[in-house]
Amino acid sequence: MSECEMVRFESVSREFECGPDRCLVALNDVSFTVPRGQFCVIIGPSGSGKSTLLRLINGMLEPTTGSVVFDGDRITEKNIIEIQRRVGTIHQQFELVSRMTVLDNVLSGTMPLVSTLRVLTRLWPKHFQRRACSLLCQVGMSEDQLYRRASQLSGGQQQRVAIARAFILSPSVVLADEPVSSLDPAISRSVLRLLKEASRRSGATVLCSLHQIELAVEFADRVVAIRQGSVAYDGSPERLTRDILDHVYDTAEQDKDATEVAA
Amino acid sequence: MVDKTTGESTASESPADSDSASPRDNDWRDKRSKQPDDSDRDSFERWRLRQPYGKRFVLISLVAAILLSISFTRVDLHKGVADTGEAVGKGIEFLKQAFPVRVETARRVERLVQLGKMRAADAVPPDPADLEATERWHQMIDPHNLPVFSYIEDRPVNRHLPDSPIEPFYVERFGYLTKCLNLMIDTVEMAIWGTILSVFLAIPLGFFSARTYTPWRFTYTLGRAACSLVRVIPELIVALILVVMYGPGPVAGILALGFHTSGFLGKFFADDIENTPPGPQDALRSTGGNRIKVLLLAVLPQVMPQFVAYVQFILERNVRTATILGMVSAGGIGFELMARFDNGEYDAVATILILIFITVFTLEHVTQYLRGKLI
Repeated sequence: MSECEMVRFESVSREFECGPDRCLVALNDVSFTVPRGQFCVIIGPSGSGKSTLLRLINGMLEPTTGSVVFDGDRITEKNIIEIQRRVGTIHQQFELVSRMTVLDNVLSGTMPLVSTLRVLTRLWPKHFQRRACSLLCQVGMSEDQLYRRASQLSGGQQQRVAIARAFILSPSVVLADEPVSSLDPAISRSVLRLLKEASRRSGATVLCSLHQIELAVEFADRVVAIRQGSVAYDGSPERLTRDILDHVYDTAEQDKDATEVAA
Repeated sequence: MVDKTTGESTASESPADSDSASPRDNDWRDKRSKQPDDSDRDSFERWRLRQPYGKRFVLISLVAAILLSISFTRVDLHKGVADTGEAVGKGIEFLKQAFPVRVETARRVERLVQLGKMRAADAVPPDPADLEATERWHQMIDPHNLPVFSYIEDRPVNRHLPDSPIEPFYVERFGYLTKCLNLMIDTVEMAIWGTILSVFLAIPLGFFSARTYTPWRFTYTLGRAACSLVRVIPELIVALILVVMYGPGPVAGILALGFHTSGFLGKFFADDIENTPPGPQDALRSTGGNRIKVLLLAVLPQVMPQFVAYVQFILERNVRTATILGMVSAGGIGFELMARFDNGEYDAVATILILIFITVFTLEHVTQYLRGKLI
């Protein structure tokens, strides 16, 4: 294992049962390595297996065959809690607790390291409170928004809070599952810039699934394209050509179908 | 969509080519320029964090704790605890005889129970002067110097018998209202304690009855079964059994109210926990937190408004029900209501009913106000 590698997928396959004698292959023999500190963007059509790939890293799913290696350790049931503490996750729908304040939402990311009594009474340790304020300041939130409920924020602001929550425990890896799908282009760019800046500051590796190719090209250090559960492209964003995208998204086939229907 | 993904379009939206950005992008950049830059990043050090619990909260909690501790002895709950302790002690004694094994824990519990009984007995010494004082008061009534709105009335001793002897009766006007008010306060106290007991029983019931949080399948079935069981037995029946166990008084009423309504609350809590959006729960679970912490952070804040509404409803319901429980000697104003009704004193019955209405109406407004403050 190379010293600089952070996550490695080793012939990972994941199948979902969808009825008797039927199963859906979400990932099929996927192998690639993500080096430490890289901003890796995963693209691919809906249902291609992007989210499944990310959920294998934070332990929300287990591979059917193959294995995922996290910082040199194979992810197993025994070490998953330890690994989960080193992984921050940003979700498509932000997944903030809408009735909790901005500060509490960010501090909820420290939950694994805080006692149940402190969680119950919301008496968060001072150093975590300071870190939460620092992160909120970094993502452009202001002091008067600290005690506003998450439901009172706009989509972009909620995603900023979610980024702060993901970075509160200084994770080694941040997973962003379509973090800008529900945001407009301007806010999307701003959120991704914040994400990249935060990962650069903390040295975290980012695996981010995206649908917006232009954003992927703009922000990614590396692009991995998934098509029908397999890696269809793995390389720098500059080398991502129209032909590759046509292949990944089956655009040529769709254009042909559309021409036939029109005729 | 794919056309937009070509290299050309990507290049035109890159930050380097800011002149070609849309007006919206320019707006965003204007806003962005107002955000804190690197030199302002330390400004969070000056942010003022609120104290999680203010002086007002501490003061209110202290007052509530004092009032509840006074009420605890007023509604004889200390005797109820002592009786329960005695029953547990006897149960342990029975078990020790049935299974002659020296169990250290059992002996410790027994010692604690005895200690609790001694403390409870010390807390309220019997006051024989009470009865004498009442009798003295009746002897001291001066017909020419009665309290305001009181009077002496000649009426038959038994109004249902035509040849009943006629005797002078001392009619208390505000006096009777004061008595009813005291009884009503007792009733409300019973309802509050019943609700507190109900909430404490419903929290574990709700947790185990929620499909998403119960640890095992059998605990789910057990929890749901317990909720149904306590709901299907009518409160009057529970109160009758408890009056036999604990004797007449508010303790039986409180326990009956608590047991019965915990079934409702447990079911409501469990249903709400199950219906909470799973997204935030999954998000927190993926950070490595255990299920209790996830429940406290991702579920409790979301379901709190409904929980408070349910508890408010149960409190109102308990006040109404507590008035009826008196009919089976389980404390409260119901006993007085029943006695006056049996004697055909419908004016007194009307007074009690109006008082119950005013109490429930006032309570509804007070709880609505508190709910607004809490949520």
